[in-house]
Amino acid sequence: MLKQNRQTTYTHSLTITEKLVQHYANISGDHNPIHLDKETAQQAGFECPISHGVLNMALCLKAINPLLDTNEIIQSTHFRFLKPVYTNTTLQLHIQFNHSSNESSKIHISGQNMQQDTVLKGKAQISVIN
Amino acid sequence: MNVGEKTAVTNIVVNRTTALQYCEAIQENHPLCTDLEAAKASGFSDLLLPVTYPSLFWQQIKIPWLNEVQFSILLSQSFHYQKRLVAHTTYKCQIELVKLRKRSTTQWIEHLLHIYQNDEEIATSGITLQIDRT
Repeated sequence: MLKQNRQTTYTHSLTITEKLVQHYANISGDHNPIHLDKETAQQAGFECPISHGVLNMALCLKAINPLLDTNEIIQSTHFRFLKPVYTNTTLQLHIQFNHSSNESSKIHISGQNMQQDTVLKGKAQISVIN
Repeated sequence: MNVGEKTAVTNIVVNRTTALQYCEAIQENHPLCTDLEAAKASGFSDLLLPVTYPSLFWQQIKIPWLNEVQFSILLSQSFHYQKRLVAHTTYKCQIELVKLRKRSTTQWIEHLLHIYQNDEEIATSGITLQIDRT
């Protein structure tokens, strides 16, 4: 059974620090300087270094964890990256649950930056562990 | 660069240390990903890998048609599991170019990472890249 008495919508603040991005670069092996170096990022047309799309995605999915029951896991997920997310940015996540059945549920996530731009959108399918 | 092209099949070993380091990097604290006993109690053979973990596999697979690409923008990323991945396991992986669109000097390329265990596909991961060839 899916977790009961769960709200339909949630909000969550997420800050992506320079330290997080550097750590992720080291672990993932993605040391593209647009993520780490201000000059390179600006030469590429960005205001400052941008965080890795997958890091943003992972942090969004992590925000869902407290909302899941211990027997629920993410079975699939898809994210679109609409605008660059700069380092040292706080995103406001809007999370919406749509219960499909007793065995699965869908979640929609959107993230907005401090300028109210929607920078990413994602969805996830939650399933009960058999 | 042609639709349908595939990389060689690559064996990718996932050890617990790397899995836990990745969890730390993305601040993943789900007990199934960080506590071996909890993972086994839930029926998994080892630590459950975070959903986005296969993104690390891309770095270990040679993609010949992207050799000359220096800069790309990630437009989308997906992960679909018939069976979630666990640590302390070796997976066979292969990347396929599934869609290609061009306009002027810009290309949009969709790839699909196929993940196999015991010759059975258990997961896929898709990415869409934008490449500007100026």
